[in-house]
Amino acid sequence: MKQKLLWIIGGIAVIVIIIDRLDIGPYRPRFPITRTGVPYPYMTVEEENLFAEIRDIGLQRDLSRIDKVRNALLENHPAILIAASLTLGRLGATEAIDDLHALQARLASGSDVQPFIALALARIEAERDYPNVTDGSQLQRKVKRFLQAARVSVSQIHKGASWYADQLKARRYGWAPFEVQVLRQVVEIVADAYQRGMKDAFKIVGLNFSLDHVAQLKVRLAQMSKEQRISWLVDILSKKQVARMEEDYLMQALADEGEAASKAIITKLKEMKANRDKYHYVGFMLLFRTLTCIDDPDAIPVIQSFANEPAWLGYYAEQALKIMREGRRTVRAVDY
Amino acid sequence: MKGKVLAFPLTVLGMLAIFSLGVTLSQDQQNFRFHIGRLILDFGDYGSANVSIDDYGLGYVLFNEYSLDSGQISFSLPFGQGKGMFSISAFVDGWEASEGFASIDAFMKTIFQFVFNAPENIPPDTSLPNSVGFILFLEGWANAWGHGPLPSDYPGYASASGNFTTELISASAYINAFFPNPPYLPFDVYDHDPEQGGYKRGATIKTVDITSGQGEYVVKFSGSASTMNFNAMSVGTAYARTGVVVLSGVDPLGIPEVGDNEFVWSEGEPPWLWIPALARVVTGFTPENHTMQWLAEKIDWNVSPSLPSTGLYVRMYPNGSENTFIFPRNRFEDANYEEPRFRYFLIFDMPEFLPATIGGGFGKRQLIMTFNGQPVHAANIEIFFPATATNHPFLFGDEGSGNPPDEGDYFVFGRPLWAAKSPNWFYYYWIVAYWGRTDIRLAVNVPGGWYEPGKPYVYVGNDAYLTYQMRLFHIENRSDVLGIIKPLITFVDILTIKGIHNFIYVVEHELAHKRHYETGIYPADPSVDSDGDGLNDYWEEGHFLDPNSHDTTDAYNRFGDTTPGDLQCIADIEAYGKLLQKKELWREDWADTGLQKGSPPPPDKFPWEYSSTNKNYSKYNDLLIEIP
Repeated sequence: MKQKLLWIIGGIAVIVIIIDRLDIGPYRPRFPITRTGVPYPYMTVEEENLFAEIRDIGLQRDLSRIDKVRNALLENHPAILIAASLTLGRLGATEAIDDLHALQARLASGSDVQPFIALALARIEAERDYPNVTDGSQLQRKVKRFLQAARVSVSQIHKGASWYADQLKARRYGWAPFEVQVLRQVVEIVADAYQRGMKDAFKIVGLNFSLDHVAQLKVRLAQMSKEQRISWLVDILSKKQVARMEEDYLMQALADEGEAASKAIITKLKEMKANRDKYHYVGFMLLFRTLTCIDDPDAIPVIQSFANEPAWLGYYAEQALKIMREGRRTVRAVDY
Repeated sequence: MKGKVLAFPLTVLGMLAIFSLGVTLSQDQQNFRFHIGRLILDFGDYGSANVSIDDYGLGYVLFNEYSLDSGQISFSLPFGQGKGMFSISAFVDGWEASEGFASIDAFMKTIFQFVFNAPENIPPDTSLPNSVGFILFLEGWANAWGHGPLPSDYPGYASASGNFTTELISASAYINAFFPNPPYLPFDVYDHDPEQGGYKRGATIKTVDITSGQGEYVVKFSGSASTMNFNAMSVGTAYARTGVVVLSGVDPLGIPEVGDNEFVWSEGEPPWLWIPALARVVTGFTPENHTMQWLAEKIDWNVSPSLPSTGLYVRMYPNGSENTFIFPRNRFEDANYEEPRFRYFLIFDMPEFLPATIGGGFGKRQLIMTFNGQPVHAANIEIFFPATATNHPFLFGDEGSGNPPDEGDYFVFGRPLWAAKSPNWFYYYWIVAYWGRTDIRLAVNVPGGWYEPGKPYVYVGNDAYLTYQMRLFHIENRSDVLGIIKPLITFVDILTIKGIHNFIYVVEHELAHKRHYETGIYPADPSVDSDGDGLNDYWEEGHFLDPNSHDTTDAYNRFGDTTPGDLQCIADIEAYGKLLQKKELWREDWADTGLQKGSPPPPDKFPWEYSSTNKNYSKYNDLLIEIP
């Protein structure tokens, strides 16, 4: 009887392993879909600016400020830890591997930050092994290395992205699952190759980027010039009549263009003010909030000119001014 | 013979020194200022004497370290230099066949000054200590001695006396001796009160009022010594000294409200609590071993209200092992001298787990030192539970259920897979703030807290006892394009909370989500929720939120939060209202990470702090406490 039971248990285990290896069945995330609930704590001015600066360091691949990012791993705010992890991944910071493992051990297993640490460790491995991709096969190997290190398959990514898209359709927000975050990182890896002149980069990796709205946005923007990106994003944000969570990524993408984006927004706001009736107040609000991500003092008088506007428009202008006057720089989408 | 003759004066001088111990004191100004926690204890000595010497040979009168001539003298050793020793001696050396007379009538008072080193920034409702209890002890003896006849052809005669009186003890000695004409060899006559080598001792409990910040207790000594002889030598001596025993194992004037005298139960099973209790003997002299023993036998301890225990109680002496004393080293010669003290360890142990309730084993207590069974001094102490340990009992005996407060759910891949024992903070906070609420569950390995729509309970994350900054809102009015006033919910303040307040906030925030879901504020149809924030557009309009923005107040999503801000905003508004109702529960936060532990911020920043003022009140008197 005992032996029979062991055989049954062993059989079930084998089936589970086979299903897992063949990736059969419904979507099974590598990390739990992080729950949302109690909001992350409010940040001090210093914390919020650190948060923004750490993201910048990653986007600019600025290795000279890596110590600041490593120190940020000692902070407590989850968003800062997520930003620091993603930045270390972008920097391919092998020297920070131990720091990331230490953070992994410090945090609860169910922490929102855990998937981002795993993501960073995988990205570091890929960047270490393939620092400068020069051709299609190298790019494929780099992406493969990254997926191996992240321990997700292409099929899992596609399942995860589809699952997440369904969640968004049903307005069930929360962190994108790990597989989708992996997809967004792959876009960055491929976009780097694209910037180096590999024009077919997005086609050769065999991933469907259109399944995730953020990945899709990144792909689209990667194939534009800076001017095109700014112009397109300013235009699209200015025409918005409703601000959902998805718009946060558009704001972040525009803010990541820096001062040039700020100047374009200022110009656009002046034009919108002159043609007030053509625009919904939400378009103004999104551009105001984008300006709070960029440290540009020229933006303050422009926003100030809207402070006495009626109802929501004046309300949102005041809101942005308060943030800027406190000396804060905001981040609109940490996982962009 | 000549050697023997020379030996006499040396012997006499030596005896004089021994009888009046104080005279060997170093002339260096000793600093006897004792710091015992918040208690500063000083001695001051003030003496005066009438002296009479009719000296045909060599006559001496000593008062402490002062050698006197006839007449009146006085001395003072101010606070920090007093020693509490009264020593008088009268001596006439009849070696030269002379005759003489010497006497002293002396008075001395030793003032014990007790100063309360009070802290600043005392939290509200703190009762400061207003008295110090201590054991006053006195010891001493009197001696009279005569020696004769001295070598001559005449008989000798000597009379000597010494005596002292204090509030607790007195002693007197007297001799009147006739020494026959030689060939008798010289011989000695003694009187010693009590027997030579012994001390008269007395001790009692005293209390000094320190309401004004300091208080004094005065010990008075009076005594006399006299000697008169012919063809003989004689000495009259009286010696007395005083000291106090104070509770010092915890700070006797400690204020647990600012972090003094705090003790935490151990983290293991079975748990135990260790309170080191010390009785410190404070003297200006090196106490005798037998005095220490005599005092130690009368000192005992208790804690009130009592703490549960199986009855362990360990008592140790100065050298660290029971029933043996090591005589304290000499305070005047040994740089490593330590004040003698009686060391005890009060150990309370539980058979398996911590006490089941807050009142059962935590909170405010007093450590009481007793003398002969009577209370001497009670020091305020506070007892805490270790917040993150899991050694609380099982309240409902339903191990494995995951039910509060005993257990929580351990999550694997987002699902509760097994039950795990809850940390103490969750157990005791639940008992204090949400007794009986089984819809509040713990997520053992997930931070934050959440509500899953449709579920009958909410989850509290594993960090809901730490510090948190919560958002606060009020209404600002703005005209719309038609000039009609439109109230808009506006984010204006931050409240920093910790301990049980954070726990209450997390619970109330999630219970608010649950209520909002159950009352239909969250629409099932996404098409009536334009901005995708989970709230019906019409509902948002009616409650002063923007139906076209998921984070109207811009207070949430820019900090990485992935739940739409408007959903969080209304839950936070209600959570703040509920938190205000339970604000006073900080008084029952006896976690070692909680609001009662350690040195709190200044009273105007306690028990929480608003960022608009950096004080415990907000700049805004119209903060929303319910959905408008």
